[in-house]
Amino acid sequence: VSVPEHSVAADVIDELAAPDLEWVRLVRRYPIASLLLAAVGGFYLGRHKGSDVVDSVARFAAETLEEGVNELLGDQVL
Amino acid sequence: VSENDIEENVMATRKKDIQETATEAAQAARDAASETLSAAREKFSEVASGVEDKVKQIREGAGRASAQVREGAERASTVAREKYAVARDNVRQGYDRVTKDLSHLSDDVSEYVRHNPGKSVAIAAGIGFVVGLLMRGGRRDA
Repeated sequence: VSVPEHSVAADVIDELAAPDLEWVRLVRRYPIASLLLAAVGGFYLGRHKGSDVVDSVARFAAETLEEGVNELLGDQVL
Repeated sequence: VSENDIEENVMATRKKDIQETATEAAQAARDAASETLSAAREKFSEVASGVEDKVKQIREGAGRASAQVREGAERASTVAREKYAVARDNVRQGYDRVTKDLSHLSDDVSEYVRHNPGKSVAIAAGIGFVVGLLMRGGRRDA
């Protein structure tokens, strides 16, 4: 149980969570409650700020793709 | 022999004849009445015997029907009790199985979450986000 998890999701949560919040320990101690809390939070976010989040993610993906293509093919192709 | 004597003899003879005739008629009437009464008694006895037999048959039939009804009711009650016991056992087994399955599922989920906390929280939040996005009912943010 004490084996640390290395995943993109864990890194993102580490970035978003407060530095002094030991979320991994809390999730391991209360797994079902943590899943329910995360699902409720996601539901609230999707219901009230869903469009903003989708737009931001789409814009970020488009910019990342543009940068990657430019780096691959040379300057200012797109 | 004078005419009076002759006349008296004739009258006595007629009287005797009339008496005998009346006696015979009365005897015949008594015999007929006795025969009729005897026949009526026999007929009444036959009818009474027949009615008694019918009542006895009806009583026996009612007793048999009552016994059959009682036996059928007991059989139906036994079958219903057995069916109820079987249904109760099935429901109890199903409940135990579902409870056990849910317990196993909960244990598996908890184990996976303990080994993959970040991924699990991200998946749960993602599912909640998609559900919330779909349940907005077509409302678009400004």
